[in-house]
Order: sequence, then structure tokens, then C-alpha cells
Amino acid sequence: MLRSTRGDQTARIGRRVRTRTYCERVTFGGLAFELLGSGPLQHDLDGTDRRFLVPGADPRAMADVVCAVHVKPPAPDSQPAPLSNAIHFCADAATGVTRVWSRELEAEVSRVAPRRYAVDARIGSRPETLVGLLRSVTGAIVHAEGGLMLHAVGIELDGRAVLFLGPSGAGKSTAAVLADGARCFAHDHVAVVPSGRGYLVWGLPGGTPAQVPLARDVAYPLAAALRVRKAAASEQPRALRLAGAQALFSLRESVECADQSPAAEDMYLRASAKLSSDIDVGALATVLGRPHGSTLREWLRARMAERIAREEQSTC
Amino acid sequence: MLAGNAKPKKNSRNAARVVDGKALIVVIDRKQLHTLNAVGTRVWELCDGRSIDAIVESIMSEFDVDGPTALRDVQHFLAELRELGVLDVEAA
Repeated sequence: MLRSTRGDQTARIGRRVRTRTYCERVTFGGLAFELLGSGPLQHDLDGTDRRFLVPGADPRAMADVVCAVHVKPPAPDSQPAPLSNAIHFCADAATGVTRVWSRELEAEVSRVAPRRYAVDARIGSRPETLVGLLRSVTGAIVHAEGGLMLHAVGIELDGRAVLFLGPSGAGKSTAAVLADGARCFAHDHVAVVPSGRGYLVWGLPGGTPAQVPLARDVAYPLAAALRVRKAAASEQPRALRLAGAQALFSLRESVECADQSPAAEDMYLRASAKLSSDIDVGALATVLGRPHGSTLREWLRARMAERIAREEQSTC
Repeated sequence: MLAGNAKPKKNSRNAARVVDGKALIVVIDRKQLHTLNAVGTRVWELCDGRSIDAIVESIMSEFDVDGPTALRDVQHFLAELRELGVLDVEAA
């Protein structure tokens, strides 16, 4: 249960009743949220979702978000009623406001200063709508800041994140299990956000209830992303480098995009292209029952050596 | 067979990026990604309002290919791209 840091207090002064505003600070998906409610936020985050929240404002957060949350369903005629609970986005370039909506939430996201956003949100009374709000706002802001929301499994290997990419059934979860010596910190979705000279990967809720993150932290610096495929039992696990259009394709294929306008698509492609040139992208052939932690480490070391050699050549 | 003076144009609802000479095209309405090889990318780049005949002429000048082969291959490729939603073809 999200609880206010100040408690639920009312005080009578004469005939007036004062109710304090609820405030909770959490970091989620690389964003430091300040959640403000005009009443108690009676929304519960279950144990799995809570693993992806960092209490307070994490210094690694990419942006600050002040989010006013009203617990009531969205106005019935404010948007066309979606057929499913999918989240929809619409960015208005003229006003700089991004509207986010689903069947159970509605929000306006505005950029008020560099790396500072304000959100006005209305959510339904069901407990899961608060996490839905955090995820949808995170998606809007991460993409606007040049990051990407990816459908991926994230493992921590020697303190750095390696992402496994591919459509459902490609073998991402199996690849994580077979990565001996690594710990999974995200089972389904991640936010990749620019950070300094590189990128940070933040785990997001997802996966089955039986899968819980095994890593200690929820965010790690990104080392590589690998498109997974299942190899035959007679083969050996191996990793190959992808470059150019293949690398871009592997990343773009995994982008979670709720805004389907050409402008948004251009943004996803641009971010995917930049990411594909900034990090190591590869293809990983996995074999059931054959661990590939050492294969991954060897591949990462080889990519690092190539990178150092390229940098030395460019400075000569 | 598309008319030689028909003018293929890139579908404005798509997004694309050319990396290392290869185009990656996102057909948003169909949620599909397509990659083109170097020659296909060049044909696609030439779909900027010029006619199919003009595209074939450019391909013949840039690549080692005879006229009938270029015409046949370009026609076939453009028809395929139209089918995939990558291009719109304006009638002459």
C-alpha cells in the first residue's frame, strides 16, 4: 500500500476541516516521481511490482516528474472509449503536451523545464491502475528524452546489463536462465535511458508471478543487447556481432510503441539507430540445457577490445 | 505491370532510416518492419516523384544491368513494395 509520508490527518478548526495532501516519492523506470493525491491513494502494489520501485528520488533518475493523481474514472466523453485496456499516446507538438489514456486512466504530461515534467492524471479505483499510470507516463517521457521502452529480458552480468531481445517465444527467458553467473533483473520490459556517456537500463514489472527479479538492484549500465534465437540441440551456443541495419532492426523490433503516429515512429527509429551505434548488438543462438554464461563473457570481452582498438586508432 | 510514366511515392504514414546503405522501413498501419538491400534501397530512394521509366534509367546508369532486366526487376520490386504498403503509385 502506498502510504503518505505525512499520514492521513484531518483537523477541525472551528467549522473548517483541513485534510493534508498525500505525497509519495518513488523512482520508477528511471524517473523520480513525486505522487500527489488530494486524498488517500488506496492503491496497492503487489510484491512483484514493488520490486521495481526505489523509495525516494534515486540520484540516477533521468528526470523528475510531479504527478497529481485524482482517483476517479476518466470523463466518459473526453476520449473515445478504447476497446481494450491498451495504452494510447498522442503528442501535441504545438502545446508540448502528451495525452495518455486507456480505459482506466487519463493523463496529460507536460515538459516544464529540462528534465522536469508535470503530470495531471485521473485513474480508476482498481489497484493496478496506479502502476499502469506509472508505466504509461514513463513510456511517454523516456521516449521523449531519447530513450526506449523495450520488450526484453534483462540480466545483470558482472555489474552490467545485457538485454535479450526477440518476439514472444524467441527464448529470451530461457536465455536468461542459461546465462550462468548472471542474475535476471527484468523479465519482460525495460526502460533504456541515456545516462552520461552511456545508458542505464531500468527493470519494469512484467513476467509471470513465479518469476521474480534475482538481482539486487533495479537498474544497471547497459553493455549489450542480443537478439535471441533457438539453435538445434546439435549446435553449440554462440554469439555473433550485428551491425548496421541488422542491429537497428533487432532493436526497433523490440520497441514498445503505444504512439503510432509517423512522428513517434521517427522518434523510435532515431533512438534505435543511436542506441545500435552506441552499444554492442549481437545475435545469440541458445541451446536448451547448455549454459552460455562464458560465451557471453567472451563475446563482451571481444567487443570491448574492438572498441578500445577503434578508440586508440581514432586518437592516433 | 505498372505504366512506365506512373510515379511511385513513399507512403507518408511510414518511417524509415537508411543505415550502411540499407533501408529499414516501418509500415506503421500494418505494424511491419522491412529491410531492403543496397539496390532495393536505391530504387526506394528514387521514388521521389519521378516516373518508373526515369527510375529504370537511373538504375541502369548506376548499376551494371541491361535495360530489359532493369525494367523487369524494378517493375516487380515496385509492385511488391506497393503490395506491402511501402509505396503509393500514382497513375500517369
